Amino acid sequence: MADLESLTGQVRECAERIAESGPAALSGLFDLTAHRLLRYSVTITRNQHDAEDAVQAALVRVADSPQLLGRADQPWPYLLRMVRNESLVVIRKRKRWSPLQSLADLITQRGVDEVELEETYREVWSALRSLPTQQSEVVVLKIWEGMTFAQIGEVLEVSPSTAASRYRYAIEKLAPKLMPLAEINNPSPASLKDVEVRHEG
Amino acid sequence: MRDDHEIADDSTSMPLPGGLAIERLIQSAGNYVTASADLRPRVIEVARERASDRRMCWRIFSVMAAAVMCVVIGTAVSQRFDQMSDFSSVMDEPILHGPDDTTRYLDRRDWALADAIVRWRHELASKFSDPLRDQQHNGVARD
Repeated sequence: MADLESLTGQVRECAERIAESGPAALSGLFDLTAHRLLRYSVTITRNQHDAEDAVQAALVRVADSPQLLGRADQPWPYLLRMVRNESLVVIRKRKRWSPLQSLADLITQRGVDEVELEETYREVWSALRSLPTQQSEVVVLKIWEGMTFAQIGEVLEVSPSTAASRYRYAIEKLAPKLMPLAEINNPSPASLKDVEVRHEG
Repeated sequence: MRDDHEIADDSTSMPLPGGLAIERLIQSAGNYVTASADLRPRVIEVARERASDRRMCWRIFSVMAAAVMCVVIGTAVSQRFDQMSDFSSVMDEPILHGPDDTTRYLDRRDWALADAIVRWRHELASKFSDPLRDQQHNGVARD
């Protein structure tokens, strides 16, 4: 929550700098938010190139009219909503079809010590893409952006209870695919105890 | 700290087995996707181009608005000046000759007035016959 408030304040400051200095100050807002906006947009568009177009369109609109962001009550959720709207526009204009669960479009990064985790990450992203967009949006905003269901409801323009329901259904759908991975990567104390017993046995 | 089997929020609480582990797994993959290398320069370049285009459009609009204002004001001033010029020249130009000589008049309105006066004089003359003139005319005719 504190992190979200801090980010909201920083976004407002960036908008004010853009209003004072012009497009040259847009780099600050980009460095602060582009990664988060991109991963959220990819969830909606299911294609990284389209997601980058949507993020670009939203940030350029902010550069054109920085007062949109500066005067908003919650600049960061407002910016997320802008990206969401641009992503939906891109989807409507898109004519090509792409397999929803293919990850070939993603541009990825991983640390040197995360080579063994790459397959896990790809499974996570593939599982997220298997969800309906309405559910994957909520998952992304809840887990990666740390928003409450009330804040998610403001971004998606739904009630908090609707957001919570979508999140629950999403987790239920993800559980069969991700629980085995979750157990491997983060074994629960119960499963560890079972392993110890087997070794001792 | 949340219970390991709950997906909790400040407004709802939904016990779901393994929910926290799934959340942690998804959280770990949050930085897997990254922006392409040219996204940053592309965004800033497009923003700069649009700002430049807006400034150019504003300059063109300002010049055109100033030109239109100049034309409107100039036309109004010119028409006013012409009206004042016509009036003053009418007032200043005298009628240079008397009624026995050729009289100069300045415009169509004056010619129309002169024609009207001549016609009226002829009509009066025809209405009021002159005996002396008639005698002279008849004598000349017998002779």
